[in-house]
Amino acid sequence: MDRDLVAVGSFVVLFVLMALRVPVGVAMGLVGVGGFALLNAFDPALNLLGLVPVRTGSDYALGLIPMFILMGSFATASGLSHELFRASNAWLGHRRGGVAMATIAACGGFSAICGSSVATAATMARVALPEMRRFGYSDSLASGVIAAGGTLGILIPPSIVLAIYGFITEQDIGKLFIAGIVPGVLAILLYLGTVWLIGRLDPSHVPVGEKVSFGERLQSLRGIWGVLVLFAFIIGGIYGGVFTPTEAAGMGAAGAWIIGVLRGRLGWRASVQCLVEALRTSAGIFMILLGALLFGYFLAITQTPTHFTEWLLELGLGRYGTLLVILLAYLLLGCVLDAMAMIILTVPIIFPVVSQLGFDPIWFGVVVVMTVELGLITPPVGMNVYVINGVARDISLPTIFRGVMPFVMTDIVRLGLLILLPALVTFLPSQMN
Amino acid sequence: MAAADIAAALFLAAITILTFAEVFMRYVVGQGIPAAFDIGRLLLCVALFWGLAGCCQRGEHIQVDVLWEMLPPFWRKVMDLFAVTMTAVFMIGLTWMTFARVQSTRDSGQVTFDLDIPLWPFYALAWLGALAGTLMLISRYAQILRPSDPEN
Repeated sequence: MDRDLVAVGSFVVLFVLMALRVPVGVAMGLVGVGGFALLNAFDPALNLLGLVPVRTGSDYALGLIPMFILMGSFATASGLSHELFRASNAWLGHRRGGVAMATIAACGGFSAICGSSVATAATMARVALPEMRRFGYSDSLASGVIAAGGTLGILIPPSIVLAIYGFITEQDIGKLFIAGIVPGVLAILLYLGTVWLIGRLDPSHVPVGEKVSFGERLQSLRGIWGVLVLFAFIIGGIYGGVFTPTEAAGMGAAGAWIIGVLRGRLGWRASVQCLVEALRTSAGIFMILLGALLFGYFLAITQTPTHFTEWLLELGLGRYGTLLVILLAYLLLGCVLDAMAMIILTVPIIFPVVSQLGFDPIWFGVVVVMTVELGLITPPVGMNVYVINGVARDISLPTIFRGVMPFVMTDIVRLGLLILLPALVTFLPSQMN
Repeated sequence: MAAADIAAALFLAAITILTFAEVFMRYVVGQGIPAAFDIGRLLLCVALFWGLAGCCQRGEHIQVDVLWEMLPPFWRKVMDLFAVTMTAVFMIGLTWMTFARVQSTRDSGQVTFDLDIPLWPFYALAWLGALAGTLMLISRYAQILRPSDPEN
């Protein structure tokens, strides 16, 4: 049987199944096992179902996903988002656009403890949106700031999507986390600059907040110092090679729980609820990862990644031309697919091309995650936009999309900067122990 | 919260405590916990399989909703039934083959590296999670076929 034909057919079936709302992981798993059976034999294909789930589930490196998610859940349940916003607002709120700037800073801080963009957007929408509306911000700017600020969660370590990228491509997850720091900080600074610029161009939509005394500013830090120390401890530990990312996740989750309990914010029931939520999210990721690995076995025997690499290189677009095509494809795919699904489905096919072109795999991980992140705030899917619309039903989707557009432009500028200056990504990981 | 959720949550708690304790012991006492690595990863497998059961029960999977959202309620139900059936096919295969893996691991007498702890009881616990997930898909059929609330 023509392997190329089967490969093309399998992608058609896969996209039809996904369009019919079959879970992405299940669709990939079924097509993977079915395709493997078609090209090889039924028994070896079924054996994959016995081998892959148990082997993947018991991979120690995967343990960092539920534990980092758990750290975020504990921190959220402890009221960290409110404390972060309060502290950021105390320091930045008195400037023009200060409450919006405080929201971005709080999103950045929250991202340092929570690796999910959607969770960051949902949490900050509840905390910061009412404040911005109280001060008279336009709905589009207020919601746009939160949608964009939420995307910081995908890049600032610990990032679950970067961890998945590392898992699939067998890259050092610790290095990927460290590589996300500079682009993450750059994102915060550029978002702050965008708010400042909007304030200069149209001051009527960007009010000035309340000024608080220096004493109150210092006092506002009391609620967040524990978690900031925890973040510095775990990321410092990974950077210094003191512990592995999985161990860092365990330390982080346990540390966040201890801080929550000591501050009287976490009881028995809330703790169990956090554990349940963290595992629910992790199991969803596990399912999609299983599907991708099963699909990957099938792709390997069709040699699709090799053929795709050869085809793309034969186009003669050059290194950066090919990279541009890949990133544009990600932007288009982001219109219909979830960020995590996109990474898991496409990276096994794209990664050989990128390696062949000689790009640094850690750098590419950050760049691809940033590109995928754009899909969170651009139409028609724009997950973060839907999340904010879910929290504030009276703000329409077009209003939020309009508000987020200046930040999309900022993201494109940042992406260009990282492509022109790869050292912004690669320097810190290259210094690691 | 369902029993499957709480069971899975307790396994996650155990992994977290074990990981924390291992690092703490290594740096403070100067000696790590024997087999912490193996027990941690085996418990992770159990937790994730039980987590899958919870996902199956609530239908919480990563899905593409673009087409579904454009359809009237009747066709949404048809699509949901199709999706659950495909999920059931996958889960039945996974449960069946994981059971075969439990048997082969027990028969071959595989143990952990450090303390010779048999692997098969952990795999059996994981298999129970897969089995629970498959059975819980039946309740998903009932949820989908239930008449919709006219207010939603």
